[in-house]
Amino acid sequence: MMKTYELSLSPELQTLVEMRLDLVERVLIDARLSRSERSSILQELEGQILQLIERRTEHPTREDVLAVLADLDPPEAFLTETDEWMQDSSRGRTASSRPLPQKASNSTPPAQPPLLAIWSGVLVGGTALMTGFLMCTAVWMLPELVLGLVAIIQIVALIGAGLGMACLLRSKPQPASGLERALASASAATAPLTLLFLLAMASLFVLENEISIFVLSGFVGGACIHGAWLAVTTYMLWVRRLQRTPETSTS
Amino acid sequence: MWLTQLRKGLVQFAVLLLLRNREAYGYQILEELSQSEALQVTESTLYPVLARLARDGALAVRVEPSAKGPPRRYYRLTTVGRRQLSDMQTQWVAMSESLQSLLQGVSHDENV
Repeated sequence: MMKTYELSLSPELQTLVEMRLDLVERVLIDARLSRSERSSILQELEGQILQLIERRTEHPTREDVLAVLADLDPPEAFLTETDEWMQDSSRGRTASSRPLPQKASNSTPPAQPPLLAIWSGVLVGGTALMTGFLMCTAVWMLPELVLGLVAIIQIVALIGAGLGMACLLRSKPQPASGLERALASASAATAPLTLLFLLAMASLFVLENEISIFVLSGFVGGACIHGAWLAVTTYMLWVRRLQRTPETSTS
Repeated sequence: MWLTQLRKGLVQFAVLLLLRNREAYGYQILEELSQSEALQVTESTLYPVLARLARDGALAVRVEPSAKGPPRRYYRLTTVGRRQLSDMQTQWVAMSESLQSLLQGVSHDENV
């Protein structure tokens, strides 16, 4: 009887293996294989990966795992095999009627951040920048302390929106640099301030009981900055996804 | 292209032949088949074939749980698989004989 696996991978290394398995599963889903067939193929593949790592070293590092993954067939190779399987199959579906499968890469995920995140960041951030600039210029001139505080908050939020925009504009196919991540984090940190700003404007409206141009533009500005924060959050999530993806290469 | 198609068609036959008298797990089958340079079997070819043969009832699967990894799946031939293998062997012999005679005809023509 053959022995079973004795190797225990750290959570980080296990994640690398699971990400490769996820890519293969995506290809198998595209090929419309049933869950049990996918499970069978993935179990075989995982077993093979573990056995290859086990043979390589008793104490695997990230490099060992990546080297093993790089020696495997790319995930899309499974598509070629299963595609013919589907054509031969008598399941009543034809391969030509299937939607075109998404190409899955074993090396890197689609590296470009989503266009939606970039453009929403640029548009919303741009609007927030302009509104914020007009607002703090107008509010800063008023003597009331509250409005002064609001102006400070607004300035901070303004800087955050600007930084967020810079991050989005600097989006590159490669994972973001440390500086970009720091800027995105700073921008995200302006969210509570934005909410505070909205609250301050709302209370002013209640106290004064009149809709002034400041209150109105305050609502608009706050909403815009909050929108920018949402766009930056989307971007940050994308960056995190890029970082979590192993940088393997096919041989 | 032709060679690729030929190899793919032969993998199923090779798997059934290998499991004729014993059971084996996926990677074990892969290692043994990949020793044949002519076949050039890789995981993306083999594992879907194993899943398909199991689905069609040609292979029975015995799952052995593993403490630190996925369960190991041992494959063996079923009655359906044995019949399939027998058919394939007959077809293979017939095809090889036909091709052999064609090849001999070609070499005879070349000599004339």
